Amino acid sequence: MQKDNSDQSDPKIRQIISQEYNGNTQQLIDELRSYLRSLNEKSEQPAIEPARDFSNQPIIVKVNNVSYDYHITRKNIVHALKNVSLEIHQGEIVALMGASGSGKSTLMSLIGGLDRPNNGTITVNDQDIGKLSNGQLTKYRNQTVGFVFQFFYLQPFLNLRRNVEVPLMFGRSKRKDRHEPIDRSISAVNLTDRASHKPKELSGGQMQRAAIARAIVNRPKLLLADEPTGNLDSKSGADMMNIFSEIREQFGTTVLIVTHDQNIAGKADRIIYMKDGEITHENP
Amino acid sequence: MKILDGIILAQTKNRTHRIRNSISVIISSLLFGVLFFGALFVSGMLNSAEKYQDFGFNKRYLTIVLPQYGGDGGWDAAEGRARSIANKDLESRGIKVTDEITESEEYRNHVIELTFQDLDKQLGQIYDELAKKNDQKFHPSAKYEMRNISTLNNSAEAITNDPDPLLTKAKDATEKRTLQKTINESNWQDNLSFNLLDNEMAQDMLSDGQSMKVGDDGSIPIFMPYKIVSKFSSVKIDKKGLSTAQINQKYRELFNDVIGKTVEYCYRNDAAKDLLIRSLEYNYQLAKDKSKETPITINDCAPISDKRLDQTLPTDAEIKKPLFPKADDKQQTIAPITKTLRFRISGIAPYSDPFDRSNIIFSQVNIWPSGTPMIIPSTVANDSIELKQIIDAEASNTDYSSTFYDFENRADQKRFIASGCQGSFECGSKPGDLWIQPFGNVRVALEMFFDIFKILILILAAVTVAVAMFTTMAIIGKTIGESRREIAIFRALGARRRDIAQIYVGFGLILTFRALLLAFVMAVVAALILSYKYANAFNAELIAATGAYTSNINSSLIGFDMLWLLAISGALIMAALLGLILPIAMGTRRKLINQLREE
Ligand SMILES: Nc1ncnc2c1ncn2[C@@H]1O[C@H](COP(=O)(O)OP(=O)(O)O)[C@@H](O)[C@H]1O
Ligand SMILES: [Mg+2]
Repeated sequence: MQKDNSDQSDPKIRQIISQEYNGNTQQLIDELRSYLRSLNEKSEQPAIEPARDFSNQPIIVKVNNVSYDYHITRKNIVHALKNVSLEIHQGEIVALMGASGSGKSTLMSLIGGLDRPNNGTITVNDQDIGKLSNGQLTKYRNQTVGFVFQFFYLQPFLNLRRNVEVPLMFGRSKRKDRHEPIDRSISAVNLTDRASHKPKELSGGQMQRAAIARAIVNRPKLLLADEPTGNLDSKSGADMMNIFSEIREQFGTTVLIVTHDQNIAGKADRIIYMKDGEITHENP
Repeated sequence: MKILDGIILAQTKNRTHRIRNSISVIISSLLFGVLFFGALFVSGMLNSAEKYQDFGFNKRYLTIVLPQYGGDGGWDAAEGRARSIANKDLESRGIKVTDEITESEEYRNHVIELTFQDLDKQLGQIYDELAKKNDQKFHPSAKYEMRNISTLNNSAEAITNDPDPLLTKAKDATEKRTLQKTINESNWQDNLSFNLLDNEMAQDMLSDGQSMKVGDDGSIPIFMPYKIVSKFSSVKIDKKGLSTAQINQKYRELFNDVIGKTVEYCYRNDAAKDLLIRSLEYNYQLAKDKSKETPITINDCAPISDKRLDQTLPTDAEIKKPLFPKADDKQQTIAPITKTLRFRISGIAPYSDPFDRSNIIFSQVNIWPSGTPMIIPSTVANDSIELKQIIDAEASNTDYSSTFYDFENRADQKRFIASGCQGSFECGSKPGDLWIQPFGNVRVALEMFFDIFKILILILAAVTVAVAMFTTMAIIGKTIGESRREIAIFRALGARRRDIAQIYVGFGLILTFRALLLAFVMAVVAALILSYKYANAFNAELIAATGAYTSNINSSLIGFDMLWLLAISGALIMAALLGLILPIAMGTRRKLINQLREE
């Protein structure tokens, strides 16, 4: 179950959250934002304080010696991942960088449970993905991880609320129990006033935030974002990182982002570099 | 996943998809609509016919059994034999058989006559044999047996040979012309034949105030069908543009116009008289065991010379010597004595001309042999008519004779037809087989009518079901093919295969329901239009077919038989579901990791 992460957060934030709620979510968010901004100004840092030390946090993702091949034809086999190992601690924001074709997406997909590794193990939140049944894997995708894609992939015929509701539909939650997580997710990405809009009425940045709201509606432990800013201008891209950071603060979510943008990656706690299906180095 | 969630996610994505889906919905609904329409229309007809169950022969399951021509080589062989007889006849009299002769009408008529004689002889044998063989088999379940009287048919033929049986009644030239016209138009001669009706059945059709007793004027009670009755009546029924109530009113007027009236037939022809007497004798023989009632008398008509008007007899010189002279006693002459037979119209019998195309359904109701409009109750007996020596009648069931059976229920009737299935509609007609066919019951007639279309309906239903299946398969296959990414996204978001299947099953069912709804609406509209246009005419046919002249029943050609409508919908939904299996199975089997890849 979702652990309450509030005791890890800043006391000021706790104070803002615990003050008497007057019904105005936007106001609450604005307050939180301005506080976060003031924090940033104080430390003269961007939204995220990098290089926070997570080594005393539990390991949430453990990739151990993982290999993965794509069988294009019987003879043409692409070794997309070769003996990849990595660890990610709870609450970390990790950027994954590397040339196109280096295996980033494949690694993300395996961590996200879209397939099982050919060799090695991937353990997320103490679950060995390779050993999960199909049903358990589906539940894992629904509950434990959240996906954000480069091209958003919102349902064009559903409004934002409905789009955010989709993972709940698959999770078989009761209809009346859905309002709270939906509202919370939408407010976490600052789209409360757009909740009834269709995707085509939103800007690119807003669409990606909507996709993030959808990804976090089940309060996943791990948020997987494959080039989430690839399709956005640099301002929206930077904005996206703030959102991830806020989500991390609010829900304690661990975030793994694939990006080509050094500026964006620079805002992560850690950068992992890949080349030709292997991890070459980390930074810091 | 909840059902509603599935439906929310099954919504159509874009304009082109919507247009494509709508087109396939419209096309399938046209086909589905034909099925619905059929169901509405057929139940409309059946429901309407049901309302007439208390009239006419509808409570009975009458069945006619008659032998068919065609044994021993059929018509062609018989005609060949007839030709050689005719040729030999001519040659024996020293007449050379030239092309001119064989192409003459006289020669052809003679050959046809000989051919019929040949066939009749065979037929008589066939029937006698089959009757002997099958009586035991057929009889037990038959409640009554009726026979029509072949000799009366022959008397009708004899009358036909008489140039103007009705003209003698004409008071002046104008009336004569009118009568002549009536004769020509009514095809009167062809229809003039008689059937004997069981007493109990006759009671069913007896009109109020009428009895089956022979009247003081010697008139024999007779049941006539509307079609024939209307020849006598001044009331003309043109169904076009009339409401049901107006048509009913017309029928009542017609009924009042003719019921209880006496119809006279004058026979001035020895052969006709002879045959008539023989037929009445046969009638008597049949009725002998039953209660005897007032005897029939045959009165003299007025002498011909008084009534022949401007018509004069041809002189001997004027009479051309025939190619095939008849033996003296059978020679057709204009008889000096005319006899009158009086019939009193005591009721109106269901009857419909099997060859009247406008009357396609009720041609099934009353297929009487040789077009039998007149029905004499078998209780009419005659002790007093002067019986002549019967030459070859022998109370025989040869010639055109046929047998009727009356069953208590449809099951018995069906079993009878099946057990003796030697040439009913269903059995085909091998030479020498018996022709067995139900008549008189509207419901049975409708059943047989729809039987003709059964295969057509089955084919249509099969095609429609196949179309429902393949349309669904194609459209869902295409949609799923175009939604690989969407499916992968859903699965990445935690959808089970079952959820994906549910979404597309929902999608397919929504399309099917739309098609069904549209089809149903179109079918109802079509049936309503048809009903509006033809229900009255149909109702009039029902009245004519059942003799329900006093009824005030309305008919409709649209009926809602829930069982049928549900069965059709169910079959189509099942077909759609079947069509969903393959594309969905294929769409959910794909390897997830490959589908999300950016191109
Ligand atoms: N579905 C696939 N089928 C075959 N080869 C693939 C597939 N997806 C990725 N690859 C190959 O695997 C390698 C790694 O791809 P990918 O994980 O997408 O890298 P990245 O996300 O870093 O661009 C590449 O060589 C790519 O061509
Ligand atoms: Mg990639």
